[in-house]
Formats: sequence, structure tokens, C-alpha cells
Amino acid sequence: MVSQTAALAATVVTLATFTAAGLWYAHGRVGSVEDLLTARNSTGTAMTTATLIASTMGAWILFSPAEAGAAFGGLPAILGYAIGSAIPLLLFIPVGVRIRELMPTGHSLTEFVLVRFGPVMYVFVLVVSVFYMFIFLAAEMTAIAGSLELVAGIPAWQTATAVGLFVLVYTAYGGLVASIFTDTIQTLVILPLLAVGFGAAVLALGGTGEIHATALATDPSLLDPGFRPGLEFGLYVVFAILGANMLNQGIWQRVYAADGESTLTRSFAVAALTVVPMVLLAGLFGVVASGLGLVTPETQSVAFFLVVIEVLPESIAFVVVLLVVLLVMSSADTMLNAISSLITVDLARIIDVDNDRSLRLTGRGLTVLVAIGAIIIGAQGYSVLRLFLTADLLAAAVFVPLIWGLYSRSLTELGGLVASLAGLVVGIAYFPMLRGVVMLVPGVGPLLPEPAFLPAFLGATAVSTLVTGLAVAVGSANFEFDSLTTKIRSFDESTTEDPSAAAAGEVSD
Amino acid sequence: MAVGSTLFAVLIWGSVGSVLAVFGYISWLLIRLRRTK
Repeated sequence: MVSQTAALAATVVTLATFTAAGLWYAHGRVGSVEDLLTARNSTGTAMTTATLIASTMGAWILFSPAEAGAAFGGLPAILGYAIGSAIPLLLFIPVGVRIRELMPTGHSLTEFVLVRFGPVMYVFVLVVSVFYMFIFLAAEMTAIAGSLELVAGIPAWQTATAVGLFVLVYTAYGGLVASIFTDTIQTLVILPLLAVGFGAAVLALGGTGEIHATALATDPSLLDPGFRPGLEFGLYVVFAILGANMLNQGIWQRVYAADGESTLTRSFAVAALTVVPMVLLAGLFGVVASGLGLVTPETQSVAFFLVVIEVLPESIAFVVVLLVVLLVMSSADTMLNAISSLITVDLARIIDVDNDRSLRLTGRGLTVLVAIGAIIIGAQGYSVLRLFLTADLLAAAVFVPLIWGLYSRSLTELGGLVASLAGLVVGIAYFPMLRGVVMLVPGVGPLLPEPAFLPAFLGATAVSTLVTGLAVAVGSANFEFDSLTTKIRSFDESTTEDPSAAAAGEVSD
Repeated sequence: MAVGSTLFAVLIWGSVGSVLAVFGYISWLLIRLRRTK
């Protein structure tokens, strides 16, 4: 175990260094609420790629993929996790290009939903999107609090509070501009740290041959690419991650931050290729933990850290502490800014915010509230994978009509809603984690099928897709995509052309 | 049928190499950007 003082000192120094860097970079660069929330057309390939990697690869990669490898099906589960993490980034290439064409001065997917579908679908998507991102943030806080408690014995509440407060300072002040800058530096530290740290860990464990032989001797199914439970996990996690990422405002912000279509395409493609080996390496530690007989049903979720604590030398454990802090900072700042961005953009439509300054203050105030909520939940120690899977199910049922609506004129709000709700009903009916809640509904219990994750996620997405297809076929709407350009404008435009327009938000007639 | 020892090694060291390659790519882009400014 790493000494508590050394780990705490390293954590605080890392947090303080990146907070100072974020504040320094954002100073003088955040002139308007647009800079705080969008940073439109401002980042080239290097920064966009780096910020995508940093934003999507949080500390969860040290928990969930290893747990999947140890408990959900070995190698095929990890491969599914790795590929599932890359697919949404690849899908963002055509979808991102399309949304930039349709609403070049937009900010979020929810804006599109409001104009394209209507207020009911908009509220539905907004709630699911904020819920997912809050879970992501809370899961990150849980991850770092749990890992530092395991590796160095630091109490969870101390870690959650320190990380939450430092990230809050530079995110509230510098918004997306600070987040993207710190993400870039963090990625440049995370990538070599991850590669060298993992490489050293493999050598410390006796090399790949030794790890392979141990895993094979303990449980051959760990390395069997055809192992059915692993294949099933690998399949449903693809749908789980896909839906969730499509509702991740942090990624939509970066779609707009890229300085052109070619930057967007290259950056998302490289980021997609990068997350595969990152998740794969982290996940293989679950196989190692299982192979070494370190995992029990109670410790599956911390399989990665069992290897770090039990087998690896203190120097590598120390590298892991730094890695966890950087991974958490880089994704927590993204989620904090994304949630406050989404709510700020939407709040401007609901309440009377009379100028850019008030809107900026509102955005910063919301960032503080969200951070406090995430710190409190993060200190509770829930299962990171379980937190994610619950939020993922909602997203898996909702994302298909939204994406289809980018291309179809005939899909109506009712069609989109029915498709999402149908997917949700099927998903919840099979979902093991909500079984207790569903059973409370009188008369429903005997009708429920055997709970399982695969039919829950596959069913939610497939039924939602099927009903969306039917709704498109029979839909009577003839939506004018050109109206998106005129109805959705930037805050800068709204303020310059008509100060009162800002009060109504950037969606105008 | 389990993945063989060689394939397992390729998987691990290939992943380590890929992560380092992306680090090199982003660094090269940033250096090039700095020089052209």
C-alpha cells in the first residue's frame, strides 16, 4: 500500500497544478457565455483528439472493464467493452457533421430536439441526458474516492471533496476553454503514464507468458474468445455505451469546438482508435486478478486495484494514484461543464436572464450546485458499473429516434416519444437492477420475464429502432430542416442583434 | 479454445504500443502547430 501522506500530497499537487493551468489559460479568453459553454470552431486536431480521449476515458476505465474481465466473461467481455467504447465516437463523425450543417450556431442535442420534435420530447431527453451525465460525474467521484481509499487508505470523503473543489474552481471560472486546455495536457501525461505503468506492471507480474499460463490454469474461460457470457456482455455493453454517449453533452460541445469538418472527422477517428487499447489494457487486469485468485464476489468491482495492492511494487501503485487523479480530473471537468452548459442554455428559455453576464453567473452557479451533489454521492461508495448500467439503459431506449430525426422529415414528436417509451418498457422489464422497483407495481410481477442484461439493452434499442422505423413510415410530418438554422442562434448573435433575444435564450423565431 | 500465448502477448504489447503511438501523434501535431504560429 502507498503511504497515505505521499498519496494525499501527490493528489493535491496534481489537482493544484492543473487548476492553476486551467485558470491561467482561461484568463482573458472567456469573454462571453459562448466562450464558457461552446468554444465554437476553436480547436484543431491535436486538442480535439486529446480532449475527446480525456473526456471519455475517466477513472471508470480502471474499474468497469476490469470488473467485466474478472466477473462478466473474461477476454470477450473486455473486447466488447473496448469496441463498444469506440463505436459511439465513430458514429459521431457522420452525426456530428450533420448537426453542424443543420444548426451551425447550435450548442446541444437538446436544442435540436426542442425545435425538431417539440417540448415533451425535449423535456424527456433533457432529463435522461442530465441524469446520465450526473451519474457519470458521481461515478467518477466514487471511483477516485474508492481507489485512493484502497491504495492509500485515504478516507473517501476527503478525496471526493478535494477533487470536486479543485475541478470546480477552474471549470466554473474557465468553462469549456479551461476544460479543453487541461484535457490536452492531461492526455499528454495520461497516455505515456498508462502505457509505461501497464508495461511495467506486466513485467512485474512475470511477463505475458506467465500471466497467460496463470489465467489458463485458474480458469480457461477467461481467455476463451468464444465464452458465451463474455460474448453476451460484450454485445450489450456496445448498446449501453452507444446510447449513453449519444446523450453526452460533453461530446456534443466538442463537436462544435472543432474548427472544421476535417478536424472533427480526424479527431473522432483517432480518439476511437485510442480508447480500444486503453480499455483493453485496463480490462486485462481483471483477467489477471481472476487468474491470480484475488477476486471474490464482494471485490469484483475493484479487481484492477487488487492486482495493484497485492502484487505490484509501491512505485507502480504510486503511478496508478497519479493516473486515477488525472483520469478523474479530465472527465469530471467535462461533465461539470456539460451539465451546467445544458442547464444554462435551457434555463435561458425558461427564466428571465437579461444579459450575457447574468447568464454566465447562472452557468457558474449551476456548476457549483452540480459539483456539490456529485461530491456527496461520490463519497457513498456505490458500484461504478451498476451506476453506469442504470443510466445507460435509459439512454439506449431514447437515442435512436433522436438520431433518426436528424435525417427524416416525417418522424413526429409522438412517434419519437412512443418509440422511446416502448424501448424503455422492454428494457426495464428485463433489467435486473430495477427488478425490485418494478415489482412494487401491483399486478406486474407475474408478467415479467427472466431478468438479464442482454435482452434489456438489446430489447430497449431494437424495439425503439423498430417503432421509430414504423413511425417514419406512417409519419405525416414534413419538417423543414432549414428552420433549424434560423431558429437556433448563438448567444453572441442574440445579444448583438437584439438584447431581449438573450432573455429568451438562443432559440428564436 | 483459449487465445494462445503469442496472441495474448501481441494484444498486450500492441495495446501499449498503440497508446504510445497516439501520444506521439498528438505531440507531433502540437509541435507542428507551435512552429507554424
